[in-house]
Amino acid sequence: MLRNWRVLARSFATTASEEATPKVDISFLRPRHRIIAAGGIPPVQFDSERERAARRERFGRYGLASGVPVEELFPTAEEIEEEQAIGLFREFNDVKKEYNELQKKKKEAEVARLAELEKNLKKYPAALAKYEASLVKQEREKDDKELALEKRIREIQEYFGYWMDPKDPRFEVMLQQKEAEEKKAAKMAKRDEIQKKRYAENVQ
Amino acid sequence: MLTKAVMTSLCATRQAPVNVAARGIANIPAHEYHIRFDQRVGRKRPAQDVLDRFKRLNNGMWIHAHPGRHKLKYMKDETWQKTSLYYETCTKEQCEILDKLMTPYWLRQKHYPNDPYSAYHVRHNINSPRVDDRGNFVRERKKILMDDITSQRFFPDC
Amino acid sequence: MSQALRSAKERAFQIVEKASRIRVQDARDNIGARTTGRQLKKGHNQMGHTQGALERAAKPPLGWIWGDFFRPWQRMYPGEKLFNADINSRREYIPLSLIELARLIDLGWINPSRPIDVSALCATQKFQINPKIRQYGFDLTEEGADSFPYQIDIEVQYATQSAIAAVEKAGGRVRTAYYDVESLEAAVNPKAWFEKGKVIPKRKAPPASLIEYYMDAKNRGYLSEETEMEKERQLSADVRGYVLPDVKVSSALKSIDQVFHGIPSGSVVSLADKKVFAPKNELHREYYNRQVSDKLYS
Repeated sequence: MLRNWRVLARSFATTASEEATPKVDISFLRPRHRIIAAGGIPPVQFDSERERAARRERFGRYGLASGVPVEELFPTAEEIEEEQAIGLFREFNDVKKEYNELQKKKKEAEVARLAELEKNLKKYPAALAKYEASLVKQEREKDDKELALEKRIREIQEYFGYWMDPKDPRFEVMLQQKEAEEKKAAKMAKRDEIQKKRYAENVQ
Repeated sequence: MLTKAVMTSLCATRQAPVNVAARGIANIPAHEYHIRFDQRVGRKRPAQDVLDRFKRLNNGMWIHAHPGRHKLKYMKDETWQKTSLYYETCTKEQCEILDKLMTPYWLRQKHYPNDPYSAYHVRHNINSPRVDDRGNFVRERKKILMDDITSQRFFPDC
Repeated sequence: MSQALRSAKERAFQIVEKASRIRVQDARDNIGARTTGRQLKKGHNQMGHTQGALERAAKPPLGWIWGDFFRPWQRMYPGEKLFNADINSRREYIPLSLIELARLIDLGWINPSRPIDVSALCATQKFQINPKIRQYGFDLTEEGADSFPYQIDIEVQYATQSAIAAVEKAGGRVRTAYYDVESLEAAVNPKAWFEKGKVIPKRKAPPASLIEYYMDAKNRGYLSEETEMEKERQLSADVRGYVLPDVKVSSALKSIDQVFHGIPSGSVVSLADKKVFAPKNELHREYYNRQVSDKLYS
């Protein structure tokens, strides 16, 4: 309790006795840290402090009094050249131009497409009618052309008794066979007719 | 949780060179995909299998696609054709396990401007507590300087 | 200070105050609180292995259900590229709703008479923007748009149409501006940036994928024309049915390459001396005058 009273009294003392006992620093801080704790600028001691980044930080913390010239903070000519040589970033004007061209192309394509659609829309009724007509004609054509084929197929079927695919090579052979037989039959019939007539004449 | 195997591997001395390929993130057996300490950094790694197949919504729910959604479509009916492309939610246990397989970055709430999943980052009518032990919202987004009444009026979050 | 010197009673009171009303489920056990041991069918309650063998064996992976070691359940679902494949090219924005902005102004965290930009919002320390994980700034959302009372001059990185309309209805001004990663780092914590002695970077123009957004007057992009902007302001007022107030924000806009108001880019700020240093020679002047576009997937 007595110790605290003495400290309290010292803090409120109006007559400061500076020539009294010098203040002993018992913090065990290193000189560098003592300077920092007192708010001063520590001298450059370590190799790591001589690096570019460390010097930049030194200027950032302590300003002009740090001893770092302002010019060091800016990129050097070599660095600027290197950055431009790498070419990672493009010029904004180029990008903008490209973008504008792209937009123009898109708009033109849209306009062209709309015009094409308009044109086709005008032609649409005619095209539709034509298509429907072609459908109808196809049916009639079918009747005209395929009727004969179907007749032949039917005759063969009836004559021979089984169905034969018209694409089959035997179809033609059978057709010819059938025609030959029919001719023969017709010839025979004709001969019979003539004979019958002669017979009839003879009889009479 | 440091298993004995992991401890021995971390403290191992230099061994004879082995012909087996290095145990990178893609070259580990499937039963060891939960990497608690990776070789180089010593930090947890997210399971790449999980990242390829699941998506985490901001409210903690994980969704996945339906297996076989592109297979044998010709012999499946209309309902299947529609529902096969839906995403499905995971069960509570599955969500907990998937969260454990992830690193903190993947468990953060992320906000994107034109997010197609924006409507699904909120959940409604859940009775479990809204805050965790640290006072952060569990399923909702963080509201700056806002009391419950005002936030419930303006944010359709709970 | 008030956070440190709380007595145990006060802390307990705070916890109870913040807790929700007690319900039956609060009295229920937490998961894993009680586990009944199970009896394995093999001898000595061990599946054919000794205690030591079981301890030293490889443990099954997390969530492994009895089955194939090489086909865990996490791999039995099909892959979906839309989920996470583009995580390294996605741009994340911090959501800032109008009601939160109004709250910040109400409680004095933000001064509405000064222009509000990323630096002002991050100075409140209520938001954490980390440019390293692809966060690109703020997204102004429309919660609280119906009753936004303040006339403000705000610059964000993304804004919804309703939010823009609400701010303009109250007589304010909205701009969307692009900050590339380096400029955003400087803007988010200017003090740290200046104390590192770094030069204030020149804000790069948006990459080709974003240039469309920032050149569009509908989004009040900072690269669009003033005349277009006026037209769009009138248009949104007509569409949404409110009257544009006559009072206009008069403070100057930032130029396209500026990061901080009133400080030209390419200069060095010394906080200790309270001075700003700008380069005088031609090479650096030209370097800081060229307007350059950011990389596509920065």
